[in-house]
Amino acid sequence: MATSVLTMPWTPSPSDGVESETLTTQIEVEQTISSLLTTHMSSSNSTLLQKHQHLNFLTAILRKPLHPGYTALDASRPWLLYWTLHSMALFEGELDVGGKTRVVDTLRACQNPEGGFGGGPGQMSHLAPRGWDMIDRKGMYNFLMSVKQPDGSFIMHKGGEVDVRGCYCALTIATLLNILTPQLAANTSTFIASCQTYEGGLASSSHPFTSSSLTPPLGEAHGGYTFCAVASWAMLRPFSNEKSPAFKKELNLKSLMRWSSLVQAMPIEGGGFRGRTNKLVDGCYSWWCGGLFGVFGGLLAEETGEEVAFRDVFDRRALQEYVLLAAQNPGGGLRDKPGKGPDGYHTCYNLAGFSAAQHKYTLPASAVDKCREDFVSPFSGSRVIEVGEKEVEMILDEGESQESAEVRMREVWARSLGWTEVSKELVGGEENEVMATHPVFNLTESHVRAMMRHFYLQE
Amino acid sequence: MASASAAQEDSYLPFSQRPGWEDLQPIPQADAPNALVPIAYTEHYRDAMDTFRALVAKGEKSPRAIEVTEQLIRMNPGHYSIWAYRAETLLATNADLSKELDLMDELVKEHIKSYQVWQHRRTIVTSLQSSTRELPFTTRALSFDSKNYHTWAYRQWVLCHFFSSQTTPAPLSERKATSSAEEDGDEKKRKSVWQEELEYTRELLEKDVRNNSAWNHRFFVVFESGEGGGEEKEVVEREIRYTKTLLSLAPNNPSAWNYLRGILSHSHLPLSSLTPFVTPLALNTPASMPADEPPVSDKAELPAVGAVEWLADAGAEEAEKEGTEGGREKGVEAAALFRSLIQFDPIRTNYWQFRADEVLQKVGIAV
Ligand SMILES: [Zn+2]
Repeated sequence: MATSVLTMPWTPSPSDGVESETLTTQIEVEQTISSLLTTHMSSSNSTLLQKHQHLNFLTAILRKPLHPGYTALDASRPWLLYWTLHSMALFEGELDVGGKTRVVDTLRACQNPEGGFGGGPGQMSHLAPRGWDMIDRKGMYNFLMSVKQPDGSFIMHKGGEVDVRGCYCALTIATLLNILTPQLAANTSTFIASCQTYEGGLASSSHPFTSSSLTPPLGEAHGGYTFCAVASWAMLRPFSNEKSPAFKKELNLKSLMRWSSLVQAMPIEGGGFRGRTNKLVDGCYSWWCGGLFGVFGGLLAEETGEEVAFRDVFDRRALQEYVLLAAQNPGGGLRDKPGKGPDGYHTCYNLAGFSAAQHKYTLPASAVDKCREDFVSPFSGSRVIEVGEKEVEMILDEGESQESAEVRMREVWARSLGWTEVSKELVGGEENEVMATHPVFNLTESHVRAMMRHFYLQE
Repeated sequence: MASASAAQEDSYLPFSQRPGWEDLQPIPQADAPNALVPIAYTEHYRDAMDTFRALVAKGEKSPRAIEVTEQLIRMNPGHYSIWAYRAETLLATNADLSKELDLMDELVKEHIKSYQVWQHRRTIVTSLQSSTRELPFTTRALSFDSKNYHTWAYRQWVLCHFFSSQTTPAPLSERKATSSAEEDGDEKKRKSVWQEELEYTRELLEKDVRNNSAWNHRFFVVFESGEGGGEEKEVVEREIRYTKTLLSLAPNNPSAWNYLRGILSHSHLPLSSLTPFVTPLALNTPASMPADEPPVSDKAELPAVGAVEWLADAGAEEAEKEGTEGGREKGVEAAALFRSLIQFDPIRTNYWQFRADEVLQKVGIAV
């Protein structure tokens, strides 16, 4: 049975006769969104994803010099590129050859001689940006090791802040580039688990008390950090040996699932997601929270058997409706909520969440096994290096044998590419379909596959 | 305003033409000629960046590096390279760090959402080894943005770093001969800081009972710091009582339900231990609230979803404990409660259905 936020009862948040700032702003948003939904129902407008207008919006970000107001993003230009290009990829909008060359040139100018990428030309290396073939992998590995902390966390840059975004960026880069060594992964899952709060979601970081063994989370459960933490947790699975006595299932998946389900907004708010308990719905959490279900569905599949992995836990249709009806800006681009302007960040994460709601992914044991079987040793030298192709060096941990390196590379490969689409649900018809995005890396599957084939020396 | 800033732009004097700066050759940005996502910088920003690059190239850590980085962070507080170079320079030149805190106090209102501002402040106070300004400072910041994530994370870091019991004890040999009275005084002061934190969350929740950041901070203070004040059992009882009072007042508050769940799970108590309090809120029978529980507000809108969920989870917990032998009846009851939530909270239909099926499976009933 197809449900819709338009036909569910629009119950406003109960006030219990207690006014407060949280309630006032909440009611305002409920009114704005529900009146927008009412207008939609009384007009003959279809629920169409305005692909053409969004592509125009994205092309403008890419090519026209941005207004000086964008100076605040001067240190985030690779991010701006990622948001724009990934959004275009979700529309199957390929850049022409000239455009691709410009991407590589822009990023090359951001690479540091000593490794890693900065936020702009000549800027200090920062964990967030990512790129591809001109990458100095050894330099990147050294950079990641230099920002790794003894407690397993990563700082965002030298002298910078510790938080789970750093873990996510580091592990994503390391997984894709095949430089995720045991040393790079050490202790990180313990750090991640220490960020889970009593609410079930995860906070930005944790910090030890000087005098005790307590390591409380800093901050409250939050969608963005929760996604980064849980996706990191999934990437670390090849390194958690369930047979070792030290292995504990430290992340409480049950309370995580409860928290994630509870942050989906009500029909009167359009069915999107909020980022924290009692905060306002916002389009970027379409991905950070909506995208979570795919990741922990895969984790739960491992823990409790297959069945749960195929069930829907959140309302996929409602999330698509939020993106279509509340987050699309009439002139192109996507936004936080009605009344806010569109931007690259909200365009990217609304669309990624929209994609996650359309394409349900999970990690079936059979698919992981198949990837394991198909994996050929990267040390066997069987792959033919094409003319002009750079040779990919296998980076090993200190004292690591080729045999054990092969085992972990196979595990990382299989758990990254074993993700399988199990069902599709399209609100507003076929023309609204966007490409599937990888539930952990948030890149289109073809990009993930192509990149990993290259760096893991697979056919 | 537009014309005024345009005029400013016209009369802009580049650094290289100012006295004391002539020796620096500005270094323009080495962008790719065809770079994507270009930004049209203002002349002032471009010139300051070119000058900054010249200083970095020389490795110059000097008062003028402090000057130019200040101008840049005012224009772009998210520029992490500039903050990092500024911090290094301040420390290398033995600059007056309390003056730096003055600047941070001034900038915080505008730049409260920037990660870098908070990280910089951490670097500065860590080096100063002084916490006196930090709690009042974050209180001020929270007074105009009571849920700001960075501010809360920073406040909690300050508490971990400076107010942990026996913070950074000096080795015995280096310790000054302090009288035990003095030590007692320090310990008293430290304990009072935690007491005041608890009082602070109470004030914030009095203003806005739905402020989840304040609830979260309360959990940090009471349960995660080990400084909750008093014996474990008393503290747990005090917090349960406090939360119940606020739930009787406004039962449709997920923050308070989550806090109450947090207390029980922290103390390994079953959810069913609070069934007498929760039932009237779940069944819309406020008059049946036991006399020793806080009375339900007559404006409370019942049944409260959080209360129904509680009863369902409590039932599931018990059914799972008893398993396929004795848990069947309780399991069926819990599943019915989960399904009843679909009507009040339809967006979570799948989740309630999932929980219902899960409990039935655990007691051996096929679904
Ligand atoms: Zn947002």
